[in-house]
Amino acid sequence: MIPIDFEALFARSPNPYVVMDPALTLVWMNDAYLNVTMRAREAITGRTMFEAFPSDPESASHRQLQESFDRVLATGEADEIALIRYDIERADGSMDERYWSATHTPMMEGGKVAWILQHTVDVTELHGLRRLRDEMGVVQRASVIQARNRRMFDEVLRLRSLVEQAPGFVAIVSEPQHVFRLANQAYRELIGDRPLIGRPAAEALPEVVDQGFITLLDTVRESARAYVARRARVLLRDAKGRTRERFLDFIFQPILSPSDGTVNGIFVQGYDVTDQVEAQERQRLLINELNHRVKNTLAIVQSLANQSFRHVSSAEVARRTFEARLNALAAAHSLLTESNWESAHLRDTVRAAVEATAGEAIDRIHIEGPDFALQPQTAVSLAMIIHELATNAIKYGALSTDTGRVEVRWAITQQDGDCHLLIDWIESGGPAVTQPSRRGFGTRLIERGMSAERSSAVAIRFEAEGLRCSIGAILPRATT
Amino acid sequence: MSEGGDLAGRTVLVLEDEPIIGFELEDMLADQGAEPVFCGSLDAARERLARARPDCAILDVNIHGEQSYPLAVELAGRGIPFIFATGYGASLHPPEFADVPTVSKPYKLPEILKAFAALKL
Repeated sequence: MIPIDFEALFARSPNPYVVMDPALTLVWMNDAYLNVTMRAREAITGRTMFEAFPSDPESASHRQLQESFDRVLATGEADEIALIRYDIERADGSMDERYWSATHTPMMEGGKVAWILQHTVDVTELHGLRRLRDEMGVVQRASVIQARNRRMFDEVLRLRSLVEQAPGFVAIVSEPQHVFRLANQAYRELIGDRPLIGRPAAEALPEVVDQGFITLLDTVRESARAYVARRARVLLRDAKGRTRERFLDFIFQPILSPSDGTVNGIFVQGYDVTDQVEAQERQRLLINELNHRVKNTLAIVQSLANQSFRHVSSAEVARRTFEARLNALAAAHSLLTESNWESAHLRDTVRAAVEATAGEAIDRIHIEGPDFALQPQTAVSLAMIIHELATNAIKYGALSTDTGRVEVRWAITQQDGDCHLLIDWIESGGPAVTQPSRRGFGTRLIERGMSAERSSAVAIRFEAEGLRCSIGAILPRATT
Repeated sequence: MSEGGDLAGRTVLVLEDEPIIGFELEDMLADQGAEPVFCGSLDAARERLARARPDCAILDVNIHGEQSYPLAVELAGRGIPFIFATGYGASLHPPEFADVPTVSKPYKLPEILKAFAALKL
């Protein structure tokens, strides 16, 4: 055994030590202890801990210290007090506010606690520093910064979510190869959901290379100038690998480094305006079509006018004839306008033409036949034919008397996929009719008004009971 | 007619899908001493061409939603001179027909005569 004088060793330790018996009577202490407690050895030896360092038994300090001793005595195990305020009386009787950290180690003899070694450290200075720290609000400020960081993070998330949901497409590319760093949902949809992030644009979207878009990105990167495109046509592959024509409004905006102004990347932002471009194209076609129709209608009016005034017996008669023909034309146009000039019902077309011409005599015109969708041009031709027949009936035929009648009936038969229309105009109860000596415009129109249809055939018979007219034609179906 | 557009005695195939407009054109041509042959459809015009050769033709470009250019190709192939008529404003013909005289609807006699004159019948 190495001969060590432990008492001398402890006595000289710079760490404060004190030894108590189970009644907490101070039996031994080193100089460091006396020094830290500002006491003389003879003043405290033989006195209990609480006699040597009195404190209010009800105070937290007293209880905390007492309880630690109780635990050591009860369990025979060492106990620690991390931090305890225990004020010490100064020589002048005033109290010095002190903070301590202590361990109480039992020394056992015969299974019982014989002695308690207290090792105590004055941590007043440390505690003061901590308090100083609290007073300066370091912790508070740290938590404020932490909260601010959290808000900024939330803000970043919110912005990212906004970009993600933005109606326009957004992407960010960086490096000379234009590597995708970000692409929102609209962008991913535009390019058919192909993998983008981390891939160079030319690799991710190979079809745009030959369309000049990579060159454009290069130019923006080199020049540090934004590129703005309006209604740019681009062919893009969709999710199924099919090439789709898209029209885009977009901007390639260089992202400049705040420090040196070099181009860090390119911000790609834009809108798919394909729908608008297509709508405009439709509108252009519609206006063209409208122009065509107006010109065509003017040509019809011109012809009606010339035909009405050509063999004029009286200016007034010619004017009325012309006006009546214009009315019939307008009635057919009204019908077609209701269906956006797609088609007109056969029944409506006949009825409208008769009504526009016959006035009150309509009660004596019986109209019967299955319905059918006529193409616009056919509808106009048929309306003009019915008008001429009705006009003729009012002037010379069944409707020139109070008792005559007209039956308009038709049948449609399907032959070899074609629709054959046969219309019969049958007058009865009117004056005896005879073939006119001169074939006027009316007859010409009735006979040849449907001649633009395939295989049209018209037969006009002047029979004893009245005029009979049969019009046959193969009709194209209206596209409705 | 004095300046080469003389239609007198010539058969003119008229392709026009609107009969009422066709009548007017027929009358205009007949007044010039021509013999108009009205065809209301491309099929009718082809049938007519198969039977007899007209001296010249006036073709409405838009016939029942189709274009009459295929018929123009046939006419050109047979050396039959023709002019176009159109209701569309600035209608662009295919390159091979870019120089074909074209009149716009409604038909006006002076325009038609001028167009035929350009054909140097």
